[in-house]
Amino acid sequence: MSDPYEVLGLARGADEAEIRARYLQLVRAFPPDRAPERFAEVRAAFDELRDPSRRLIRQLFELRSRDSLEGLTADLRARLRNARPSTETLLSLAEAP
Amino acid sequence: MAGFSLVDDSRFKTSAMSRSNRKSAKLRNTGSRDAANRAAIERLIEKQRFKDAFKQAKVCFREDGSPENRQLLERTYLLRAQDLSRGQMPAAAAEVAERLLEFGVTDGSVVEGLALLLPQIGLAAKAVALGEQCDSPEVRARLTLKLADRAVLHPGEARPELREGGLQIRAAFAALDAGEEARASELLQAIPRSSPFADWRYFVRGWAAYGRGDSEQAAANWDRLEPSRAAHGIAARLRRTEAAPGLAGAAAKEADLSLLEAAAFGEPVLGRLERLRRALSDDNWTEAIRLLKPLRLSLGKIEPVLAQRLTEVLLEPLCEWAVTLPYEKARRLVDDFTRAAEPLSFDPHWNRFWALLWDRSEGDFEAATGCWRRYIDDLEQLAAFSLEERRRLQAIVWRHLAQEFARPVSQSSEAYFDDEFDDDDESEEESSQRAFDRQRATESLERSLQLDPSQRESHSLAMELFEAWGQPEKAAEAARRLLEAFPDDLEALGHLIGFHSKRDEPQAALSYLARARALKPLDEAFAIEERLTRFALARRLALAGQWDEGRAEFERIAALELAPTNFLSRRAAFEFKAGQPQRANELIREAFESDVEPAELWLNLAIEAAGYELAAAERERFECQLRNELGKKVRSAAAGGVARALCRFLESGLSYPGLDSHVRQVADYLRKSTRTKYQEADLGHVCAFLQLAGGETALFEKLTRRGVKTFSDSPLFLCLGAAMEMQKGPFKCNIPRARKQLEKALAALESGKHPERARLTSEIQRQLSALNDFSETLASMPFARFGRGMPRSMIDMIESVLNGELDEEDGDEFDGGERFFEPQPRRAPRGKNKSQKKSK
Repeated sequence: MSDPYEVLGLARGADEAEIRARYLQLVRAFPPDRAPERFAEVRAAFDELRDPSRRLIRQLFELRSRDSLEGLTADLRARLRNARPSTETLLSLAEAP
Repeated sequence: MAGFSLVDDSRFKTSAMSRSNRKSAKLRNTGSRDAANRAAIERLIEKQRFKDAFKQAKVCFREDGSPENRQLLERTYLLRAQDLSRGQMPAAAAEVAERLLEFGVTDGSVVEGLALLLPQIGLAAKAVALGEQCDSPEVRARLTLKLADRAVLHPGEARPELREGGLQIRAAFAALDAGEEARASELLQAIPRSSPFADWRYFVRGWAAYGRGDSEQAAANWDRLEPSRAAHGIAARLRRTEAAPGLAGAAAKEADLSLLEAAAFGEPVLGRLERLRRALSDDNWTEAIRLLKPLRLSLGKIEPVLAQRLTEVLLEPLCEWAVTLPYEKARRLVDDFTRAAEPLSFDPHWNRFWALLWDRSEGDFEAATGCWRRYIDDLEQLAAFSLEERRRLQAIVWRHLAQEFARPVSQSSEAYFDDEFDDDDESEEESSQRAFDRQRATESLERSLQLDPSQRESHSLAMELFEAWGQPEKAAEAARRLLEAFPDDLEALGHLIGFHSKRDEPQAALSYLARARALKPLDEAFAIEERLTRFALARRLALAGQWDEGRAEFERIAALELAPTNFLSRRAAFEFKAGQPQRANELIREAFESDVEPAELWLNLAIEAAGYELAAAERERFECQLRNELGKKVRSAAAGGVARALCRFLESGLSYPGLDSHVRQVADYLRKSTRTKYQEADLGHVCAFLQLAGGETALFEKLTRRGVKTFSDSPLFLCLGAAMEMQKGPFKCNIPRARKQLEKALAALESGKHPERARLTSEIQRQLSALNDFSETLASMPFARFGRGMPRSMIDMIESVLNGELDEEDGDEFDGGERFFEPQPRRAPRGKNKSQKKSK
């Protein structure tokens, strides 16, 4: 199964209230009758996260991260993309080495 | 500079350097130092040593001011200026360019190159003046575009005729910065397509789309940009923020993004992350750790969680690498890593990480235990978790410790192979260590339950462990605690029902049964259990002389949905006990009139007579009848019936006076059945009886083989066949064959409707789990991986070793060389301690 945090679009430190709110939001967006596959995916991710013991056990004993260097790089690139530099910085790119 | 081609350098480098030119120059000035100098300068140009070439050209021109030397000097002037401009030294480049202008430019190609360079280094006015000397309209057009770019990039230095256009583009940028895209669009519309600023119009539109996250629209605009224009260079860099990392040429892109990164993050990060990725893919952990610390600090400045994400990503690869290294080296590596990496918020002192590392196969058990205990202390203070979560985590860790302490006794494979591994000569030290481990496991579980009684797994583990240790009272106590926390827990209810049934406490068992049946009214197993418990209760009441209450129980049993098979025999025994022999004999007659097998009926009566403690005369009557029936020719139904009657006791562990004698008699009876034509169900009961009875291995194997052959698709016989294989023990068990039979049985159960589907499925899964455990043990043994793949059995393996089939590579791997996890003297690798001992 893919990373439940990723499936729900949540930060890793999200608390139970945030998890629930996000789940309800996604269920409204992807109801089972219209998007059964996506709903099933969201539901499975929610089930994994809402059981606090299960979540804590995973956090405690799993060394293998579902994150990756590629994921981290993609995140930084997205931040870079969204950073929107000032016009001066932007134009200075034309003369940068 | 990327995207800007100031002058075609290659023309200077190659044309003048052509061999034919050099040859003719040599011919004209044979022996002349001048020609040699020029040739040397050309070589310097070829090597891109423009500074040296420029110096040499000056010397050469001073010595001989020939037109050739002058042209060479002009060229080297231009090349030097271009070089400085590329090296981000515009002031120095401008100084060299001005000196060239003072010196005077006679070479047409130098004029063009210089005219295009001057706007770049802030000498736009001089570029215009020089451009007027150019004959080529193309060069003039290119110069205009360069000046237009300059007007946008540096409006203060713009030529008057281009200033307005530059300011208009700047105004459009400002409008976008202010979030007024419509205004920006309006400003851009005023720029005609023929304008030298037309490219900037596309760029700004693309920039607006990029800001909206509309990559498609951004690309549509930026694809129209002229590659030689400044706008194209900027767009190319922006588009690289979307490029996937790790692609070819990624290294070249690192520098391109550094300016953006500096603006966004304060310093470049992506390039270093890419270098770290490459180091890891090369397993160069020394380099990775060197890169890690500064990178972690940089990421932490962007957002602290990023530094922790980096740590999280690296933990598993680090462990995998560390276990391949010698102990000291690995320890040093992990130490270095923990010093360089950002600790995780929930493991600030790395205790959890070390514990998990030691927990791995062949790890240091005591070291792991120590780390876990320290982590429990860490959890007291961790802000990363709420108080409730901290308690829950501490409980989980204590439970984990309990599991670790108790691990040797909870291995499922031992249930099957216990006999083979039984350590008859367990030393006093081993025995006391075992007791100590059990005590530690119990204490750890108790702590876990105290910290968080809401964790079902802890209660369940307590039940399992006490049961495995032969402490049924404590297991029952654990089940009761589980029921307190989870009143509807069927596992606990089932455990307590079984516990009280075994202790012949039907009243207590019935109270739990009532709860279980309320939760699962359609569960057949609970219905059967209720019937049996009520029979037991009726017997207890009879022994206490409470006849009416006892009869009431029989009425309740009769009202149950499932028709009891030996109801009449039990009721008859009750009536004998109650002093009603006439009524009892009527019941026996009634039983005979039904389809019941006489042998089964007399056996049941003999069993009940023992349970009801009937008079010796009555008991002897039933025994005599039973002996008569068992003396007759064996029939399938009779054999199946008597086997089924006794299996109930052998399976549950219950007993009654005379059980052993009955087992012997039935075994003798079945021994005569080798030519009997069995029905599937009867043969199934017979085989199950023989398996449980023990001492009848040959007959069991013979009849099971017959069953497997005759009823080849029967899940029951496939399961029995696998059990037979496994009963041979680890030395002789053909693991692949047993596995194949179990898998086939499972598939048959899934596709068909077998009356004992649930029980058989659970049994098959248990057997498969035991097989898997044992296979893993075999695979991890030093001599398991020999030339022809996995051995079928341990016997095969040992024979191969004795025959010298262990290949050299395998031998080297286990030559006693140090590995990360040093072998622990007290506790052998888990799950294979006994088997290894035996195999040696």
